[in-house]
Amino acid sequence: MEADEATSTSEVPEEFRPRIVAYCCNYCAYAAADLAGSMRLSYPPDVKVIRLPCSGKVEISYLLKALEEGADGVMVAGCMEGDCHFMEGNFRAKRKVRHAKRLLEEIGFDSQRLEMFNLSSAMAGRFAEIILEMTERIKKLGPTPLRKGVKD
Amino acid sequence: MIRSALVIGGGIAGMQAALNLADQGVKVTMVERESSIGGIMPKLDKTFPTLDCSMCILSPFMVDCSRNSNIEIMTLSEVDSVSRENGRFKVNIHTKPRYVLLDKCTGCGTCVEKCPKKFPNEFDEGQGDRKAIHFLFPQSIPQAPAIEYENCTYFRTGKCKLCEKFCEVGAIDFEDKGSTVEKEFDSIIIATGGQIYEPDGRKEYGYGEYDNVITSLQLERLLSASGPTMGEVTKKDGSHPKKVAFINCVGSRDEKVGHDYCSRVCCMYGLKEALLLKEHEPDAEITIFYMDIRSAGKGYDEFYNKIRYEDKIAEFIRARPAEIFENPNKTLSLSYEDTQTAEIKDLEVDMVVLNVAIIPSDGTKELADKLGVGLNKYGFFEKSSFSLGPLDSSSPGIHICGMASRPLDITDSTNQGIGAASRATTDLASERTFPPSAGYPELETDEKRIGVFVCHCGKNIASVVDVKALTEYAKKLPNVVYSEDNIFSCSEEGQRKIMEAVKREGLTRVVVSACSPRTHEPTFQAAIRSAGLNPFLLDMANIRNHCSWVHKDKAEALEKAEILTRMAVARVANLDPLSKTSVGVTQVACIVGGGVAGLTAARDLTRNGYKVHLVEKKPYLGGRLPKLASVYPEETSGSELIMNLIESADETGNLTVYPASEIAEVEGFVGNFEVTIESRDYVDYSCDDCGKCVDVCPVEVDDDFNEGLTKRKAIFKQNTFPDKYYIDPETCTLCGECVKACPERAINLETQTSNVSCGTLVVATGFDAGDPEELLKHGFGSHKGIVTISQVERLLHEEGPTGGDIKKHVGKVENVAVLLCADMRWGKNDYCSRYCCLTGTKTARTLKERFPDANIFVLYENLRTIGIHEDLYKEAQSMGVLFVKYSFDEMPKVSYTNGLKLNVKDQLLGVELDLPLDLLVLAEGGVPVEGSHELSKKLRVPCSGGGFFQEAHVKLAPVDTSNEGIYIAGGVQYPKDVADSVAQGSAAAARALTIITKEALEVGGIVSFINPELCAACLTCIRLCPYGAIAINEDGVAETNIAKCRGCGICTTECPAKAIELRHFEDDQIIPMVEQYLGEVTNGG
Amino acid sequence: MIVGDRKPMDEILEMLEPYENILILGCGTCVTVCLSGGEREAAILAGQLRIWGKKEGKNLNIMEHTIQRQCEKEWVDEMRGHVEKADVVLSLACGVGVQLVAEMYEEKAIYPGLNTTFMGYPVVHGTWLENCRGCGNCVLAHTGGVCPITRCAKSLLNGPCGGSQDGKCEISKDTECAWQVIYERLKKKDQLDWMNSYQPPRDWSTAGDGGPRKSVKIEEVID
Repeated sequence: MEADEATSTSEVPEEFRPRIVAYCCNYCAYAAADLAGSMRLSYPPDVKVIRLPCSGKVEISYLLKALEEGADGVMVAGCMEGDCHFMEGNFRAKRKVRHAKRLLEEIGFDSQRLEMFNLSSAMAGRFAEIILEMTERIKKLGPTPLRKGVKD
Repeated sequence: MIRSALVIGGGIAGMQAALNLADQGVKVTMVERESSIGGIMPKLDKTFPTLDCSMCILSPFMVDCSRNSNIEIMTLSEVDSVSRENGRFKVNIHTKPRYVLLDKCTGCGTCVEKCPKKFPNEFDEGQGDRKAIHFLFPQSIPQAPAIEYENCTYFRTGKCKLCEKFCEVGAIDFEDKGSTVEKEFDSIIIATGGQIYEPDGRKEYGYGEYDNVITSLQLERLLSASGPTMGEVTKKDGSHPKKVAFINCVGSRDEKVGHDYCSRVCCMYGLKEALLLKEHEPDAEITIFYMDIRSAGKGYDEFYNKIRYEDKIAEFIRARPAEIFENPNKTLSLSYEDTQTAEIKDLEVDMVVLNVAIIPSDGTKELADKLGVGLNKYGFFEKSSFSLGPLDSSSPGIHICGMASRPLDITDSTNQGIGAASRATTDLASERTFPPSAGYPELETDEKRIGVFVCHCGKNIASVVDVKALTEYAKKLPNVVYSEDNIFSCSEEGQRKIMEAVKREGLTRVVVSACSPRTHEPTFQAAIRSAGLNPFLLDMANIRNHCSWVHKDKAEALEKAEILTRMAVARVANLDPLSKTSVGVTQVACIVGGGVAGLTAARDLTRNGYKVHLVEKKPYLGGRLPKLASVYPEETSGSELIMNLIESADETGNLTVYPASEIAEVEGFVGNFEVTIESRDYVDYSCDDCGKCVDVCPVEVDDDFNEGLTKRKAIFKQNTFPDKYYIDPETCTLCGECVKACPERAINLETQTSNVSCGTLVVATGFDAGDPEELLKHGFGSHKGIVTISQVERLLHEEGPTGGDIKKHVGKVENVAVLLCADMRWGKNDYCSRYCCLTGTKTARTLKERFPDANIFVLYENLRTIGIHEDLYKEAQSMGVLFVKYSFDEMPKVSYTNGLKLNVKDQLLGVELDLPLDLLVLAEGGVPVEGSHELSKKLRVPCSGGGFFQEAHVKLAPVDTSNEGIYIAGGVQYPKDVADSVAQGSAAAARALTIITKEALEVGGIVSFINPELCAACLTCIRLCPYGAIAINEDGVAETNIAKCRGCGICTTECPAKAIELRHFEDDQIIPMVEQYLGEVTNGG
Repeated sequence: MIVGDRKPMDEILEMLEPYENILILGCGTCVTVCLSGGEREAAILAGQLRIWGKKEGKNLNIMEHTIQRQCEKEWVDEMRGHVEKADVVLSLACGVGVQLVAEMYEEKAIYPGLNTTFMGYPVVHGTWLENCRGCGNCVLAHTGGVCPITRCAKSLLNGPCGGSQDGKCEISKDTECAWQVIYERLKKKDQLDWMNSYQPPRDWSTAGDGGPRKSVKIEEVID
């Protein structure tokens, strides 16, 4: 079904459609995503947003769980540094993402599949850009090595 | 006796007034002429400058009005007569026949479908059709159609009655004769709004004659996805316009048609419509004809700059086209004189949009007569005082808000609507009535019966996502027992269908696949609660903002909508019913800042009977106002105005003032804040004004009250409140000389700390005038003749340093220039301060009045004497003040080494002017007050980019902050004039009253919960909680204070024992979403 | 509390190499509080191992369980069911816990997931400082509540030594000289006199060098 839509000129016969989980804070990232909608900005459909009250609500195990379940990429998006609705939740999220990246590297897993972004609720354009950026990055990295049956 | 108020008009101002009155326990009757409340906002596509969908942000407010048990909505109704008895109003309200019985109608719309006749749709500004029986618009409140008598076939021919035949509930009543009821009220709020000018007075533009000359409101309907063309901008012949011209000021600033005021909103809506048009028609060439671009407001100038200079959406031509001709091929030729090149030119376009004026709404005069209130010269409702009584009529008990009194944008209408609520309650006596808590039903069964409701959102979702397919897909998901699709799930009808389905199908959990939970979760929570379900057993899949609006490929969009719905179903299955509990409220307010906004809030709160602690940083009250020689348009000195205000607040005995004081610490939460105030009010009231202290004080500093024109001692006195000497703690060295000299022993140089408890805080710390760094660029401080407007006010003030004779300062006043935008818009401060065009023009006029022979120039980039301040501009012009347009690219150059001179390139004449000057007045803008960031941290209220406090929503919650219970008013939010500060002061008071009129508030819900069995008392959560909401309890384990917990969930992610869960976002409510998303990969192909 | 740090991943992977059914066993007391071996850390390590397993194409079954304390027989006994399902137990307890688990499940492979480091307290959130070595002969009464046995690199009783500079120990600029701290503390208590007195060599027989020590509360022991 996915292949039907493949119009790309690349030689890969079946276009790789990444599956990316985005943990977004309610006040900025999610709001920016809402605004991107209001402004009818267009971006790839490969990211699914999970709304959390604050990026500080992101647990390391949420990040690992998504990868373990076969996500090709995981992203966390919170408010701009200094503008967290809950004061410092986004700094805690930053530390968590950094630590999770180390944990992934320890086991030889490409930590580029995980990234943290900061944006304000008004930055709809940036949201669309981030989605595109992350989608492109994951497309380059290819499908997660964890997904069974996916061969190069 | 129960308090009650009448709100006339159901637009945004009226709704805000009604909601804020109802939330203070006041019974409200809202009378609306149309068949639905909503006013103008439902007609708009988007709102500037954030481009929020107008209907989306309005809809929850409309639904709240209809759901609030303190609000009675009377549509198709008008005030018939009013009389006053025993201090109350007796009002006859006449309701026209709807011919549809509201208590029977289900809003199904079958009648509309069956009605055989179509007529031009007035709601769409005559574009498109509607039936003789119709809903005013899809989201109408009440959700019922009405029959238009004039167009109904039955009424005209005596035959048809198709609607009656097909109505399954017998809701059609052709015998409806309407009704008249008499009701009593304590207070009346006029919120009748304005209307657009139908530009038939401008025949030369061919409106109504040429096919493709339309008004801005018509374009708004064309742009709207729910408009007559479903969001397609088309010409009369159905084709898409390729060249479009917008003409500003049609009917505004236009003596020819009798509206010579500025309509204040048209520049901004014009910019917005140009941007939206470009989005719809990317190839369209857009030209905007303007006189001045008046983008004066928070974020407005930034919006303008982006459209004009960054994105180059349109070409801007400074001209007012003289005439439009329609060519045989229906294209339009405009002839105009470009005022910047003085050339006569022609432009051919295929569509012209007239950015029309706002005028008083029909019936204003009649209503004014019934109410016994006056109208101003433009036919709007007259206020008791423009600056200090912007929400009051001259008749006690009758208040005015929104466009009933002058053209306003949504933000200001909202400010005024909310503010009118606090003005009205000061009139009322006796008790308040609060509806009983809605309750948080328990879950009666463990059985998971999930219902999924898929919303079309008109065409917003349905045009991209196959809604029917999604509804079918949802049926197959685990635990889903029911699913259906709705055109508008959020409409009254949509909600009713959800409620019915919950009951009929025995649903225990609900997913709404629609728009954003950020805007609509409360709506649907309330709906399922009404159906007996716990409101927290709901989740939303955002298939509009995150899907249909951003993805064009229908297959991809459907797939994503399916995944999002699947994830929501997985989450909702594991959600738990939550409840809130009530905590007592400290029914006291604390106001930070004793300027005009803070004092207005203090007056409204104290006169409502509540204690107020007023904290002011300066040793005296009044802020910037008492320094002003005169306030426009009252022509009264600022000190007089402020003293009246202080007196009005003080005489209640409810006001405690803390001068020379600052907020040291704020603890607590909405309903119960603990505020620590540090006071350096060293001189007590036993001071008998002898002044011996001043003689001995060794500290001499610039007198900030005189804007640095004179010196003063650290101990001093001003003609304002309090009436005693005081010490400026900033400059006092605590040497103690004054203490020794004071015969009354009135001085004590110790800092006093007070702790006050309050339920709410209002922040009104104002703005600072002038950015010294920017003013320096014009030589400020280097020449005596270079002064700021604030300084001129002092120099013109009778009690000022020159006794009102400015000549004593500069010698002669023969050549004067007032430089507008001196420190704004072109350098470091890239925003418009909104009030300085007014103060600058006022200064020029006043100087011309005093020195009629002087040459007085006002140098402007875009002259923004918004609203009825346009009067001031005309007045100054007629007196002979010369207005010179300059460009930021060629900033006027000041030289002062060899006499004061100014060189400016006149953009209209194209010549350079060398002006020798006696006086150069720099019109300084407003910048955030020093210490704003520190205060914002203490209050946990964020600042926006520039350093002004951030409102919760720029349009519809302009005095709320993200910290519940803390409100903002006046310059702390953005620079503004006195009238707007006063309106916001009242608005903040009204919001504060919605807290402190209640004895208890509900808390809890989405808060953290610590499992005592798992807690190792390691203190990690206590150390990391940003709100200090967790403490070790009597049992030696950590426990959350649910009134303090804000629900961020940080503790839950740090607890090493995983003993903490955030309700509603628990691990088993999050992880299943991930699993559901990723788990079905093999099914995808 | 007892402080530990998770072992390097390579070491953990090497230990677990032969096994498929792996139980990550957290301990709910000291190592929970020092953020290295509680339920959260067990979950994170389990998640990591699952990703690793999938990446390597292994069919691993990673279980996680945390008990109140791994140094009490009753608690360790209670989780028998969990242990029996596993081929190997990776204990995130301190060395004490690992040993007791190993003792009670002699037939099972029981491995340590942590390096037990010391006894100490957190100076700021996330940083712990060693301050007791359990030497069996406490001198804190004299030293102003600062342990020279633990906090002086040489365990001097008559400090400071010549290596004390600017209040820091010569071993590292980040380490405070314990004797400087003792000096400051005693000064505040007006007990500096003590520093002038000579402390004779202490009795080290109570320290651990004479083999494992035993503590018997005779009033509690039933004969």
